[in-house]
Amino acid sequence: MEEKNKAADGAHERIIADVEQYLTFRLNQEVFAVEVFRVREVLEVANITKVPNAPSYMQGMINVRGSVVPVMDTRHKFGMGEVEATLDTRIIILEVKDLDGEMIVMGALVDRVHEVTELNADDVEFAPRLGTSWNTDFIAGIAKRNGQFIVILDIDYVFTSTELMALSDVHDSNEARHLQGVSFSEEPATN
Amino acid sequence: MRLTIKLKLLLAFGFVIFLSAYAAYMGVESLSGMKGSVNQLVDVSSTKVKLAARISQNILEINRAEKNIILSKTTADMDQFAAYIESEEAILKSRLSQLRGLVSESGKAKIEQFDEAWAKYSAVSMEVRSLSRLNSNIEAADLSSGDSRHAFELAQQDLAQLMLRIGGEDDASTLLIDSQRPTQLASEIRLKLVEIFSAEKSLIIANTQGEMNKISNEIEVVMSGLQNHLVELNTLVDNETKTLVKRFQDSYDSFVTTHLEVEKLTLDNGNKRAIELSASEGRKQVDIAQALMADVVVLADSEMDDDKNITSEAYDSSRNFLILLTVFAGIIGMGTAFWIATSISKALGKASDMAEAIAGGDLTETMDYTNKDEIGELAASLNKMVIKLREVVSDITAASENVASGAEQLSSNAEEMSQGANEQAASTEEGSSSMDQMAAKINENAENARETEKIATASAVNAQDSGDAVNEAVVAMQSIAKKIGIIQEIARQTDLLALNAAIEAARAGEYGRGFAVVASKVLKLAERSQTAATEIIDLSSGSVELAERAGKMLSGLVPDIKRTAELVQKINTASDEQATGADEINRAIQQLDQVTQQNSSAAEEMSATSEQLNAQADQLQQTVSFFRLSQGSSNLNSNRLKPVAKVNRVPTPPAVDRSATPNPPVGNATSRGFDLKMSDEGDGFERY
Repeated sequence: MEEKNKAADGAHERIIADVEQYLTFRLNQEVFAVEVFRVREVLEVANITKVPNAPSYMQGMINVRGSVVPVMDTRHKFGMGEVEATLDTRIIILEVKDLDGEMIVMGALVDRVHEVTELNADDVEFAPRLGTSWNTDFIAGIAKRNGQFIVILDIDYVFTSTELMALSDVHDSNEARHLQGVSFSEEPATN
Repeated sequence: MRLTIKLKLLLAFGFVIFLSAYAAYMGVESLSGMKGSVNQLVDVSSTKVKLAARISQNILEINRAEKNIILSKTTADMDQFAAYIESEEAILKSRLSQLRGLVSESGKAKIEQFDEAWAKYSAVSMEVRSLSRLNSNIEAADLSSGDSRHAFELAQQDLAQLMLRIGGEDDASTLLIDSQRPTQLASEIRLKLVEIFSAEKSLIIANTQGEMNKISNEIEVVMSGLQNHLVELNTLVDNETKTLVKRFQDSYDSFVTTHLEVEKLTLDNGNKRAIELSASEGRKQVDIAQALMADVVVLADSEMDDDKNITSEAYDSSRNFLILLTVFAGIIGMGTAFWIATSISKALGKASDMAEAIAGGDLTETMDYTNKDEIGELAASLNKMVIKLREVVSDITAASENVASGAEQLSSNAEEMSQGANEQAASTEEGSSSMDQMAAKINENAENARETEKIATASAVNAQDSGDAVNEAVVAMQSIAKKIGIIQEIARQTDLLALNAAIEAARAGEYGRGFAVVASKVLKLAERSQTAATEIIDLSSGSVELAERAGKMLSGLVPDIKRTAELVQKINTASDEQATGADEINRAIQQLDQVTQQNSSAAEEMSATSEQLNAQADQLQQTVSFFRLSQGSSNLNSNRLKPVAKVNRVPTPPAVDRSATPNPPVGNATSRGFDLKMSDEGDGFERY
């Protein structure tokens, strides 16, 4: 575990150093960014098929040019409460790497997508470490622009850290395993 | 209370009838009282006497029966008489109790005494009867002549046989010495036996007790002597003779027994004692009772006399009372009749006089009669008639005056009216020309209104058109907004496409850099067009609201304008009617002109008529002056005429006042008219 984390930290630094372009989007009033290389495309919200017994932060699945893609309710995932979908609501199709380094395609439901923009490394600060109680691994950094903070997400860790938290809870182990199966294996595509 | 003649008559006759009835009642009452007294006399007093007499008779009967009992020989007779006594006594008792109920106090005392005496007598009588019942003397006599004689004869026979025997022995002379002795003894015995029997007879005959006792003693001595002789004989005679002696002894004994019975009965001496008692004590008591009864009779006689006296006294008093009552009733009846007749004739005379006066036209007098009877009513009615006549006459007088003055007034008014009619004719001419002008103005008005109506109708149509246009504009704007929505959608899609293109470009790295720029430009354009579209939508939605409001206001305006057009049309119609009306008024004014001219001629006629009316009023006043309303005022009407005529020249027509009061308040109003209060003794008339 320790080693994995350290490896992830190394990856962070590499990403910040290399990447310049980000896709910015909004949840509530907060602006987030994700590196544009992990974004496959942006879609309008279309028919989302509900999956029985799915974890609560999974909205369902959509058909993207013939392939099944699970959609995550990002607001729910980040504990920001739910809102009705508007004309501006979009699904960002992301490519996420799992622990084994395999790519998983999944959708993230966001309130609005702004633009593809460049962020200077100077403007980016690393996320403060606040101990184990508040895990900030999935935050790659925080950029400041026009007096506003932009939270840069490390999309790979968003799910990894959640999974770890789930595993640490003995009672929720089964659910976590099941969750892992649903979220990250190829089985949901067959469903 | 209203004392009418009917009531008076009723009261008077009623009183007399009442007195007569009372007298009759009193007569009947005293007659019945007298009847009672007579009944008393017959029923009580005479009955008392009768009863007393019968009781005396009963006493005698009882006394006689008692004697009969004493005298009677058999018990059956005695019983018969005793029963008779008892029945008589019962009758006596009942009569006595009857008498006791009738007699007075003193009579009662007598009866008490009688009761006492009678009780004593009854006791004595009872004793007498019981003694009589013994009947011993007669029984003794019967026994003596019956059984006693028989026994005596048997004894004599036996003695004769004995003597024969003794004599025979003598013949045989067995005992020589004493042969004479038994014979002697037998003779002695025979003598004594006869002596006893005869003594018994004399005992029966004896009257007094002393005599009886003496004879009885003698018999006793003889009997003892006989017994001694017999004993001696028995010792002397032989055995055969002794049986004969014995036989004699037996028959003698039976004789003695019978004799003793006779003697005993004789000594009882019942009958004689009964007679003695009856004659002494019984007689005395009977006498007392009889005397008492006689007293009762005397008393009853005296009471009878008293009753007779009372009856005659009652008769006297009731006769006197009836005479007095009849005389009183007669006086009252005659007095009342005279009073009523006088009052009626006097009052009727007065009424007749008054009617006569009224016939002669004199209304000054009234009848003075205050009694509240029928005559009083007649007087009141006559007075009311006179008063009413006075009122009527004075009313007629006043009315005729008024008519006269009215006629004058009418005459002057007619003149004024004629003048007024002329003025009216001139005014009518003016009115007619004014009406012509007015009619012209009205026609002008009507024309203007017609124009206005046309304009208003056109405005309504225009407003309608404008409203329709606005509505179309609204529809157009709404379709514009829809179209702009499409534009907005396109902009959004463009935005998305540009974004994806930017992503692709970024992923392409250096190769996509140029494309990325284009993509970002497109993104910017898409954003701007979206913003613009949003703004247009906002604006157009605002415009639609405004246009809708304008449409509503316009469509509200249309009915108002239409209403205006209608109203103007109505004004037009009204103006037409006005024009017609004006024409009619014009015609009416012309008619008025004619009427005015007719009025003028009528006023002249009226003037002539009023003259005639005045003459009629004068005649009426002459006629009414027949009635005199107060002393010396018969010609007041002619005096009154002049001032009335003078007054009427003044043109004051207070018609309303005149109708309200019969006195027209003109000039010296206080001195005019009549004071109709007749009770003022005609002072009101003098004031004129």
